[in-house]
Amino acid sequence: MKDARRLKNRIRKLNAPARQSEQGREIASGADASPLAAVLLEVDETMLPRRLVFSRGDARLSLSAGNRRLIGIEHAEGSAEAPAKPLMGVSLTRPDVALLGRLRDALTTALAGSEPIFVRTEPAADGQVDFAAGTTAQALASAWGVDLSADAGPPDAPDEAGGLDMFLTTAPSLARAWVRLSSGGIADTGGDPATLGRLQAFAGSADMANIDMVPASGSNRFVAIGRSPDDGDCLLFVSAGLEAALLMIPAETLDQAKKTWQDAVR
Amino acid sequence: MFDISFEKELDALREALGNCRLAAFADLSARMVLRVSADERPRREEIDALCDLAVTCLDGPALPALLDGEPPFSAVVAGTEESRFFIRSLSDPSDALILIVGEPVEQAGIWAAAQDLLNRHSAGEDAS
Repeated sequence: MKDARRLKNRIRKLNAPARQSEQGREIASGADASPLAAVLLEVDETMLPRRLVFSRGDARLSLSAGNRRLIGIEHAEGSAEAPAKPLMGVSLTRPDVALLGRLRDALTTALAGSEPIFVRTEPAADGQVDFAAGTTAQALASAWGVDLSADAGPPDAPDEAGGLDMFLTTAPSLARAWVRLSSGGIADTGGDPATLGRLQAFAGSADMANIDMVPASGSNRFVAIGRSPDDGDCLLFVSAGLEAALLMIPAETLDQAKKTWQDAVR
Repeated sequence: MFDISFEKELDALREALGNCRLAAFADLSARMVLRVSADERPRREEIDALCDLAVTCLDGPALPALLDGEPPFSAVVAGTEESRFFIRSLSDPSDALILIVGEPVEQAGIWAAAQDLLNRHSAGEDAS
């Protein structure tokens, strides 16, 4: 389960010898240390809006991140900054294939070398919070074939929530707001505050209890409720075992969300 | 009132959609399925369960607060092989169609075909 993996990674960091410097915390070392995995693991653990300053040798790379998403490249300097410069300030929300390729090239080139990779966390340059901005670290890892679990110890055994995790990490840049439920309680939230408030209120309603009792397909449920296929937002409830999520998504993206869900649980 | 022709309309809807193994007409306010067209005649328990599901998805009292004050008009309970669609009539909010359709299927096509039949049914009732 992804949350367990994240927790293990956090404990591993806490147990590691403290090697702090003005460059920050050492996150990877050795010539074979993957800059992509190092960057994406840090982004994946960044919930609040932050600037992450990575350094390796004389190279510096500043990224904006939040809500486990890479939002953009803010600054690059050093011997291999060239591929990153044109991407500074470029939105990474729903990047196309070409942009994903350029971004991968920029990250690997900017942080190439054999020195250790360090990261320092700073407050976000922009106080604005846009929870839908950027692309999740998990989606980028999936697109680039990076196994984030490899850096965090042995992979976890597959479990019932695997499909739900996959769905929640690859699909809902679609979601305006989401609530993650675990064993009946709210485990995590995100998105537009007003929409999120309505979702949280609904999560405690009798309707929610009824929807949670909809007969499952295998051990999974996908229930979408809205006005019409192209009108406003629709409520989406997905569950696997004791894990579940409520999302509000634009109605016109429902077919896409359904297909993503089916692919994730198949 | 219904006559045999409405079941033929449901048969025609299933044929038009393709891969639709069941189409049923429900009165949400009475919580009753009134007509069924299906490949194999479903058991009463299955029909009652589908009707309960339609009421859960379309008539839940907390749902309008999520949908800008309006009640739901469409819902889908999806599986990997087939999905159950619940479509409320735009003309008469107590009327709904229940459809079980094989995947993959797009919601817009289901919606248009279902509303077309529901509208014709409402117009027929108004005329009679």
